[in-house]
Amino acid sequence: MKATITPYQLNAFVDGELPADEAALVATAIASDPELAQRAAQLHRMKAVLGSFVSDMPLPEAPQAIPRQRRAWRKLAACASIAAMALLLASTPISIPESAPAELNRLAQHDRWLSGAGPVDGIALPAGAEWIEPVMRASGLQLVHLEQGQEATHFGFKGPNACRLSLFITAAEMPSAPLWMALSADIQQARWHSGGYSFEMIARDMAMTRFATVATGLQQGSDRHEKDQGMRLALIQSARLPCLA
Amino acid sequence: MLDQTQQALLLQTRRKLFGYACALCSDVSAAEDLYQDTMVRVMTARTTPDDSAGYSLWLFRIMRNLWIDRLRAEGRLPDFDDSAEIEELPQSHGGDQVVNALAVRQAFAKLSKSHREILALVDICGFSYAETAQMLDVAHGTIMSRVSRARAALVMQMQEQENVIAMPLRRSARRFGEGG
Repeated sequence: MKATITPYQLNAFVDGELPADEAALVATAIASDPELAQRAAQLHRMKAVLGSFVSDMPLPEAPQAIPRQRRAWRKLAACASIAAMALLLASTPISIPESAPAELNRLAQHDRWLSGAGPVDGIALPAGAEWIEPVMRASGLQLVHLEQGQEATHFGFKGPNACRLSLFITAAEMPSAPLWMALSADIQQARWHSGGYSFEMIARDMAMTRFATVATGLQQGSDRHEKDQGMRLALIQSARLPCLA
Repeated sequence: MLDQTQQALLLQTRRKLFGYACALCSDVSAAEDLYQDTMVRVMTARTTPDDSAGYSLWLFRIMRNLWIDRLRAEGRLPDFDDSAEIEELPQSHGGDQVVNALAVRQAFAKLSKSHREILALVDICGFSYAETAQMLDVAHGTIMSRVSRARAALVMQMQEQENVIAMPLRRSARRFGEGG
């Protein structure tokens, strides 16, 4: 007598969800019924195609630009991407920074500068920020943009190979905080607090090693620990890798 | 804070998570938003499951809850009708029928939200019926019937595009471009 196979059973069979005895029953029925075999094959093929969805699907990338429309969301998405990449790439656990909104503003500011940046000659660092110069010179970066905002001063640096790096310095009465970095292929970000100032560094498409070395050098410089400056500058110069862009 | 095991799991799962988001949402932009929202929730969660299986389910459940929240806010909650029975799968059209990827994907995009979701969890994300039942908080048998109904709907959709699915992939793409 021919067994009656329900659609539920056939689908569960295709999904490998039937117990062994029931699966054997369905398999026997399929072997003796070409139409049932065709249906099972169709289900298998559909399942395989759906299963290939994820392998073909590009994951969302960190936003490259911040359009006017939905800007607020893009900022949040950028923050999430930065944090996600950091969490995925870092070898040690990282907590989410608490000052996310400010971080998003900085990224937007960096992007605005990138979109408007033309060929600009080097400009001098303002008084009080001279300590930045040795680190940046050793890194091959030149100050080309200086913008005094209401909260932060935006320093824009340019490298020889289209590198663009932003440094934001904000007067902030808060305890010193160690260097925090989030590095991905698309966005690199570092932040620390020192000496009554908050520092934030942002770049896109900069070699992670280079970015990390510059951030470390600046962070150490901001702490005014000048004892090992020679070694630090040598380290930075050794990390002068080209931009990926 | 995520520990290293959780980071590794998130790394392994993120593609499937995005696949699930794409299945739930009507367009890629909305899926990206949902995916990013989920990541933010995951990374700011105060507590996380300890075991890897629980962690994976937890990730997808966060995404699903966010999706439902959005639909609820828009007054567009999906209707999960588990009462209907299906007697048979739709008859195939016979012959040397080729189920090509383009046809399946187009048909999948036209399914209802609830059908897309169940197929996303089982076929795209690879969850077992038991895991899916746990995630959706329904009985094992309910998953079985939802999967059957969703696949039947998928076959129906594909048959509406019979000129696409009844030919080899390379030719179908050309013919489809010509409007059939």
